[in-house]
Amino acid sequence: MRRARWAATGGSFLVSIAVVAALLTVAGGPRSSVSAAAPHISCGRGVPLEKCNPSSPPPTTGPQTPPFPASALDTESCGPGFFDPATVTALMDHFGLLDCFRFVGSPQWVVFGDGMSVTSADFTASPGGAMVAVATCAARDSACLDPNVPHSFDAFTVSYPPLPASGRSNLETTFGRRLLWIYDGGCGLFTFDVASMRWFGHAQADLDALLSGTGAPATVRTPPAASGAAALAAAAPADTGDCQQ
Amino acid sequence: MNALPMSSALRRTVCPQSLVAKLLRSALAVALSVPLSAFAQTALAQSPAPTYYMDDSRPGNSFPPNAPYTSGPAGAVVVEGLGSINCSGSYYSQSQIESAAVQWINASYNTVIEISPQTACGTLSQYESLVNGITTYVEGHASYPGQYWGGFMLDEEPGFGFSASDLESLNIYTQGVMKTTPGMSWYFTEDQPNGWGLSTYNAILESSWPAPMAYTTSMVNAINAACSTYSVCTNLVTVDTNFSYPWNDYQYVTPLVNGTPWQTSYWAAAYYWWNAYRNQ
Repeated sequence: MRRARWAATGGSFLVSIAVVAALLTVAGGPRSSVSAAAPHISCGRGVPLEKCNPSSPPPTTGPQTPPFPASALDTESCGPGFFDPATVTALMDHFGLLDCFRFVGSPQWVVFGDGMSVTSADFTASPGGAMVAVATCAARDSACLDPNVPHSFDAFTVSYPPLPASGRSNLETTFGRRLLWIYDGGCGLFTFDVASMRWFGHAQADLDALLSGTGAPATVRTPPAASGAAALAAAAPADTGDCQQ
Repeated sequence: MNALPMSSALRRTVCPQSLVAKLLRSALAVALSVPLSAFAQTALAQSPAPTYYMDDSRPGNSFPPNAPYTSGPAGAVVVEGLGSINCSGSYYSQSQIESAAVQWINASYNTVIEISPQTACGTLSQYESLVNGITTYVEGHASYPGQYWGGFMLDEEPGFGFSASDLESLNIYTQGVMKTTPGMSWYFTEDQPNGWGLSTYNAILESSWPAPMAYTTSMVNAINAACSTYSVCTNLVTVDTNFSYPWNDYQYVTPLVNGTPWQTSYWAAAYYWWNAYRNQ
């Protein structure tokens, strides 16, 4: 199996909830049915036994209408052939574990490296630190927009959070198919705007301004951006002193 | 990266026939002299293999898509609350988390509520208040929470700013709250196992259901060390499904972890579980 195989995180969100319910029924969960005759199981250290073993059969509830409508998938993941295996190895060794995706409808590919070493036996920072790399496809460049067509990391521009060598950054969530919330180790929670490649704080007012295009939130100082090739050959930049905690 | 693709790892287990015969004889001798219970803590991979999984959905989102390499949908929904409090970000306020959870529970879905305590978002007392407030709301508004609400999943990481003693305090507080709830509702610790020294990690876990992140070899080693040293051998292994292969594949990750997968009779005792993380 190829090492460079990428997450296929999707399937379609447009699956109707009725189909989901049918699949759940076929798969046996999540609606559970517990036999009253089920043997007692160990519940874990210090956990009350009744937290794992019902004292009486559970309530019988029939299938109900699921509460949420299906929504569209926000992102398209990079396919197995997006980077060649040697590039994936080099990127992971340098920037840690990777997320690679494109917001649906966006011409920009995003690669996030969490900055945690995947080769060390201990919890240590990866040599190149945490980063977000962005490559913008030209209009109507169908090959560039294809997640399975080979891409070069040289086409990416690498942007760093305020403390790239924190040892671990988390891509926590996204907003508006444009903004990333990235927790930068002990440095704080920041908003990265993929479109402008600038970093901001996480205040609701900042998010609102960025999403609505009104106002001008203060940017956070970060290390200089670098080309993909240069970043892949460089050590993690130094702290900019703009940590929030 | 020092992890091998699965096919290579399997090939490494093939032995010459004479050696196999010796091993079989030895194994038989050992099997006859060792109680079966001992195997649960010394197995070299989670046994039985977990096949059911929980997956994330932030408040307002639909049912999660099938996780990579799975053949079916998640068996439980994890309402992703992130840091909440001062990091609500349009989706993660207490009221949004509460109402999303109650809607899933009232539709008879197995449900867990995840919170990621971060000093950038709130203080320890604010997180305790959040745990208490959400619990009160769910218990007051959900139908059969003791059956369908697995409780909290606390995502605890050293980079999130709280000290180990802070996290111990939060976990003790949480288990105090959850002890008062009916049925299965309890709490998981979706912790970074290599983020602290082994004894500290073990202390932080308190009496939670551990759901350790298994994202790298270092993390897997820490999980296995906690099993061999402190008998923390029942784990809901967390796999980040956004990562590149092989760490996004539960079939690659869970065999690396020793011990037993998490289970509960409330969600059918025959089910063994792992936990999918995804950002949305």
